[in-house]
Amino acid sequence: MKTALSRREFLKIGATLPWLPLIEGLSRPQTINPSQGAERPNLIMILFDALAAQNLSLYAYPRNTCPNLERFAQRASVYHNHHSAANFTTPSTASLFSGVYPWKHRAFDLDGLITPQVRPNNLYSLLDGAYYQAAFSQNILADMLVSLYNQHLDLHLGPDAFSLAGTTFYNHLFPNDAVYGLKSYDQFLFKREEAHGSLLLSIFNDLNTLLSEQLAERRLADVHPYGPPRLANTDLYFLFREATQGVMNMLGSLPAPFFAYIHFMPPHEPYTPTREFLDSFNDGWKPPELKKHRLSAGVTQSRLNERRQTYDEFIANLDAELGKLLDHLEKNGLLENSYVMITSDHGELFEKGEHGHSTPLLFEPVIHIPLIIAAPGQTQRQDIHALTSNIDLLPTLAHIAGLPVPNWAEGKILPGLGGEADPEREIFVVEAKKNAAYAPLSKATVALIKGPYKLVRYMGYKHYRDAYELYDLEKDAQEIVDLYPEHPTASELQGILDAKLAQADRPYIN
Amino acid sequence: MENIKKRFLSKFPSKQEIPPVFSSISFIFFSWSLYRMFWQVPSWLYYLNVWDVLILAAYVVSFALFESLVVLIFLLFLAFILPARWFKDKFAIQGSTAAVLIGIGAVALQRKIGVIYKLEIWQILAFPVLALILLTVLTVAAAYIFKRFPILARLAANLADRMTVFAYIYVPLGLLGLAVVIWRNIF
Repeated sequence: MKTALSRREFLKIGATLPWLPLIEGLSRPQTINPSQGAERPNLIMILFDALAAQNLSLYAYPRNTCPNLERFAQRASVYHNHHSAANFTTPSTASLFSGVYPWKHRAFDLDGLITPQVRPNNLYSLLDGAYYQAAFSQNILADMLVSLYNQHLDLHLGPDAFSLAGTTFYNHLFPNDAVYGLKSYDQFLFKREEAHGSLLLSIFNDLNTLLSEQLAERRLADVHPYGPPRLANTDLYFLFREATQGVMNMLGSLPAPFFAYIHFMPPHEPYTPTREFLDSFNDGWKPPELKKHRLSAGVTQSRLNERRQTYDEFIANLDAELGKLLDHLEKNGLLENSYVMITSDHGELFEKGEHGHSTPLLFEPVIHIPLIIAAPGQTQRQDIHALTSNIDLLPTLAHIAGLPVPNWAEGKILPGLGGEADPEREIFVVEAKKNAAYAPLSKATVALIKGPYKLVRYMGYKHYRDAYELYDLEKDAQEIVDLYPEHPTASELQGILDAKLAQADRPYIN
Repeated sequence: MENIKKRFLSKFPSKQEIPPVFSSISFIFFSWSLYRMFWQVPSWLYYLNVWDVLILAAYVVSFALFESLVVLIFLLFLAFILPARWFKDKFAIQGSTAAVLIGIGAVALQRKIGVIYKLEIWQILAFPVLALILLTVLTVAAAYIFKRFPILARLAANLADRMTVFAYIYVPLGLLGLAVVIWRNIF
């Protein structure tokens, strides 16, 4: 039954009206006011999985694998001595996001997670509030790490965002708990390579996957004779040109200032260049055969050469797509108001009896990665030969965003972007996938690079339990001559490396 | 309308016969998922903490519950469409037998499809049909055997009854897991 308002009630309601806009504003999620943040440059990080610097013509590789990247480099800073913190995606990407070495973030394993103690300190939390943040990773392991920071992201596209066929369960079924959704569903219940956690429905998933595979291969046989590109460890297929178009559309829709992390799968295996690029390097060129390392898989040189050729052709393919993407950025004015960074998470080995990056070895081809950064409006190339690590990207991004560089970051601001080159700089690389995450390092390979020298320590391998190798990277770029232990710098470097290891292990010794 | 509803419901097994079948299904599917999970746990503990593993376990058991329900619905569907004497009559024994046959077949096919067997498109499409035909034939054969050898029927019925104990453990576990999954995804 309706009742008329009394004068007192009307006055009470009227008194609350001015507070309503304030209440509404406080309850709305915070958004970036474009006019307030407009002075900040956009930050665009484009990362190619398993792209080795040593296979790029930009870095003096004999094959012309990246003409478009070379064209872009004419208006960018090219870092010639940039290294990943690890030799495969999970620990390397974790280092990029957390700004610390793997022995700090402890994401050693393929499926590893950044330890909860380190997790709050990360790139996304640093930029939160100052930037609109978007992420897209075709690598589900990197995507799993991105998912740890979903609370800081404004847009998070799943690995299947631009796929032709296949889907991932975790980001659709469990968008609010993607990490555990991935680990339980995609990496356990329906994982293909092992007996599934799901007894029956996984078999239907396998059939569906096979069907998608066959249909995609048939449909694209003309364009991709080796099959369409696939996201490693998944049944997701994509066309690179559609992925780059999708990314172009995404970048065009983001409000400024934005930070976009884009992680493309190529040129990670399977190497599937289009027909246009297949056999384009059938040039007869063969790299010199190097002695097999005792920890290598013993792959023959002819097989390594064959795989290297297809990999180089895949790089040329991705370079063509990258060229379109960079042209698009230029055409839309994004090169004038953005830092554009092209890099990788790790390289790829085709020597010394080893192929790929799932290896205990830390030779330069697997840890020397490209880094090319174009500042807003930059027109002149600068070449930087100082020693740098991918843990430097976090403090550098904070610096160029005008934010304070956190003291927990182990990296330094990159030279050429506000940092100083330090000839005494030491960087480390850690490979410990067979080591328990929360135990001291006993089964690992660790490298220290200082100046021109690289000291590598192998721990816990059968027949190579506690061994050191020392190389002079300036005089012996192919790391053929082991200078340990005779070289004068050997003991000093060993002291530095062992002390660092002891410090890293301390929290995990009972 | 009432007659249509009665005729429709009469094609399904009686309510008393469904729990033993669901118990058999949940025993097979939960046990498999838990076996695979415990096989994996030492590896998980290598790079995850105990809390992470418990959360994964919640996802796994909630999925096992879902999978068990899917299989039950499928068997009820079979009971609906097949002649009553082949399946619906003595559903407790027939359904439990069919669940065991499905379980054995699924175990045999683990790691085979896509990894060992590279099937052509027509083979992929024909596979579920052939599997259904094979299951029907074997279930009918089981019905004949149970009729011919009542002692085997009594044994199957006893086993299905004993599976109820596992259902009292697995189903609440699955529901608890489901609650955790829902909580984590909503809050």
